[in-house]
Amino acid sequence: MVFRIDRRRHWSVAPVLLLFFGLLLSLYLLSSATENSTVIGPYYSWLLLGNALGLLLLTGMLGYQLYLLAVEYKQRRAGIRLTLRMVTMFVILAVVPVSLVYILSVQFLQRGIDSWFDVRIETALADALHLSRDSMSGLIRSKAKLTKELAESLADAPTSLATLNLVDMRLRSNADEIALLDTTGRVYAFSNNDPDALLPNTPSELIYSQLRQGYPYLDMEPIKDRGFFIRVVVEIPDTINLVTGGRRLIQVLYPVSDRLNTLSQSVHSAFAAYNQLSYIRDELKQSFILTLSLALVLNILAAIIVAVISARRLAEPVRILVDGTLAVATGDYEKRLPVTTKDELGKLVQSFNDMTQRVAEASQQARISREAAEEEHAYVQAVLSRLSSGVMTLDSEGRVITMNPMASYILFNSEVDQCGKSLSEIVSHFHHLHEFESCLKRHLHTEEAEWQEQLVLFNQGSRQVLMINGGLLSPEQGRQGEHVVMFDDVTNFVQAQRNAAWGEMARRLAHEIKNPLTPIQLSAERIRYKCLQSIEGKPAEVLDRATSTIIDQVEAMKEMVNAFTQYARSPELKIEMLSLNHMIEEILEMYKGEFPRPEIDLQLDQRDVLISVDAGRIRQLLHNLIRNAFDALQDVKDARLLIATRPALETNILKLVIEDNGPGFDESVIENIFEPYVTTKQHGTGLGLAIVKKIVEEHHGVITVSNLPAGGASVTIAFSCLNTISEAPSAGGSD
Amino acid sequence: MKCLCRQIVFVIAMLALYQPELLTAANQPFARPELELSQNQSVLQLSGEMSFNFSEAALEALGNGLPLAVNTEVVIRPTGKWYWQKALQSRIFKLEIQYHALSQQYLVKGFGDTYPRAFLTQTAALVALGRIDGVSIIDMDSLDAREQYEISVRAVLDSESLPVPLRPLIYLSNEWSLRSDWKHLQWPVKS
Repeated sequence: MVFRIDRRRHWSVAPVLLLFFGLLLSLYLLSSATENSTVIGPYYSWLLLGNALGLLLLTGMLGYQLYLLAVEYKQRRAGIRLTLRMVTMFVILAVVPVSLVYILSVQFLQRGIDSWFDVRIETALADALHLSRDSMSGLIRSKAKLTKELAESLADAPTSLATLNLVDMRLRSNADEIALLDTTGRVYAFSNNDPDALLPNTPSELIYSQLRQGYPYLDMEPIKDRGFFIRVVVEIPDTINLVTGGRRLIQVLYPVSDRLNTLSQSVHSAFAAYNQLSYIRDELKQSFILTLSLALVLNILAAIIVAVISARRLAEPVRILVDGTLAVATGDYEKRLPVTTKDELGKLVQSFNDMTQRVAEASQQARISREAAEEEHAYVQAVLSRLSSGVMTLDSEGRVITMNPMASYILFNSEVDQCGKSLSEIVSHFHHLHEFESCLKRHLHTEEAEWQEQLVLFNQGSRQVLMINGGLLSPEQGRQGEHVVMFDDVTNFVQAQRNAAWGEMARRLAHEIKNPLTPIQLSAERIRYKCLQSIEGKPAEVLDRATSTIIDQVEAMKEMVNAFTQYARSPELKIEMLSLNHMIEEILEMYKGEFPRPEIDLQLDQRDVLISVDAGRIRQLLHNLIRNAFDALQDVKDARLLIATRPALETNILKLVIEDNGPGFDESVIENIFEPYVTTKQHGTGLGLAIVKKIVEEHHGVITVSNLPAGGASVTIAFSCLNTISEAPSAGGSD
Repeated sequence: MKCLCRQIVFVIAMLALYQPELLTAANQPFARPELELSQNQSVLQLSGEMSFNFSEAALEALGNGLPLAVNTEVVIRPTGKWYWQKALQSRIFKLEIQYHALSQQYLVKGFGDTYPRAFLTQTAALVALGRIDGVSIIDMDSLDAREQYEISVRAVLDSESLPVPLRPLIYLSNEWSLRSDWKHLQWPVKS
């Protein structure tokens, strides 16, 4: 899987540059408009608006980029911090110098513009203007004097006569126009240099009002497009009241010489231009500073946008690398990073891809190996769990590392996890394993490569024979210093061997002994029959006693042989579902007339659980146990015998418990109590408990014997039931 | 820095307020036209006084030699036509006033003037600027005798003729946003 570059976040720099140069051009034109307003001036507003919109657009672009950065920062996207650092660096590099240049430029600009307006220049221009005015004034006064002379020459002359002299007067005075008017605005006559002129240039109403007040008018003013002329209007003296109505006036328009005109216009133009410039000095500065400010903002915005875009592009390979590294850290070795550049970063990305490839392959190999090892382990575990032998591994200090289920069953009779515990800790809870611990520790210390030992354990009166094989694991086997111990519970095997041996011996004995016993008995009886009648006296008594003894002893031997034969044989069981309670009551009924009879405490479970047993064999079992108990309590005061049936809840085990308060089992024989002919009784075959155990084993039960702490013996037999016992305990009690 | 801040505010304010129409003019109207229409032979003529009321800033600029130009629009449309529908005739009269420092006179080019006229005082010049003496606005032949026409007149200071450095100030200042309301006249005059 290849990482993809998110193109949405990557703007091209081209549009930004395009906009930037467009705005730059616009600013240049804006600046030009300030200096030369004739060509570009009319577009000043549009240029300003265009710049504003362009800057708004740039601001929007920048805002969007900053928004993306903020979102990425919030998301803690890989590479964002690096991007921000680079952006900050680029912005500082761009903004600081530009700002410095701007500040200095503004100051230079202001000082420069201020330097244009030297007070000396202003004074000089004003003085020049005054000089022009003064020279004009001088000219005006001279023309006024001339006009006055002309007016005096027309004094008291009739208007018609005055009209005739106008042309001559105009020519003599070098005037452009001469007109005869009155204060009411009436034009009597005029003479103009231009023959096409139909009307004179009459004065304005303001001039008329001045004239009406008796003041002459003399000033310079522009006439159409012909430039400035000196207009002099004076009253023609009328001492004889020649004219009624308005007073007569003479107006003369004198041209200003071209040279004077040009110089005056030049001074005026310079003064006017300077005056205007001086008036808009502050606005001029502001205009230039505005342009400079727009340029500054444009530069800063463009620089920041380009900085953001460039930083993103530079950080993109790093971001991809970081994402790739994170993917590898989470175990995803399949991702491949796109190589987008041919520089060192591109090589780094390629190296990363190669490394990831190798890691993926190694991981695959490791996974395959691990799976194989797990399969192997599972196989070994499965084999071990199904072994009929117990297998344990111990470290050099005797701490259990592993043990299979069968080991637990053999040692603890249930599945108990003792891994991690030392042998001493185990023995502290399971005291019957003391010999087991001693055996193991003995061999652990010797560090034998292989050893074998048979051990007999006694747990709650039952005997357990273990065949133990052990060995030290070598370094080649991977676990130095560890021991593996394998053991089998050969109790049943040994017992079976014994039983077989006893059975064979019993069979042979029965055959070899029983055969001669019958002829011996028959012979004794014959001798008794034949000879006792023929002799009397003492010989007859001796014969009688001897033959009786022989016959009795033969009978006894027959009984013993029969009992032994019975013990040895394995009868065919007739299994049926029977109530143990009923059988117990049946057997006790037989002992009703027994004397002395101990007090019998019968605690039979009311559930009366049925068990699959052979009725005859169980009767034999019960009879043997009760007989033994009665025999043990014979000389005991307050003899008490407890017979109880106790189902173990949530199991399918029914326990038969027989306890008495007699002398208990002899400690010297308790370990072999179930062996044939192991007895402390004076009388009896010595096969009672052996037969009981045999019957229990035939029914797949378990028998345990022990001495009670308060005195007395206890025999517990566990039978298997058909179903799990789950009801509440009854009067007989339960385990 | 102060200048810079002012410029930034300028730009922002300009962006926000670039609609001179939104800016209210000076408290006084720019012009109080008193006009009348008359028919002189075959032309319709306009006469009267515009009575311009320039702001102090404008008068100060005028006194410092800046020429001021006023565009007087005269629009003729039949009565009842919507404003945005094409007018029968639309004409602009460009008026100019300028102070001539050398002669210390005000040069005025008013309605119908081909060449500027000189005035000694500003007041006289302003009065002359606004005077309309029988200016022909349309031939009677262009008008339908059966129709009623509306002649609308408005005066606006031509800010584009002012120096470029003043433009930003002009766009933002009330003092330079000089524009009169439309004065509507009816022709034929209703009795």
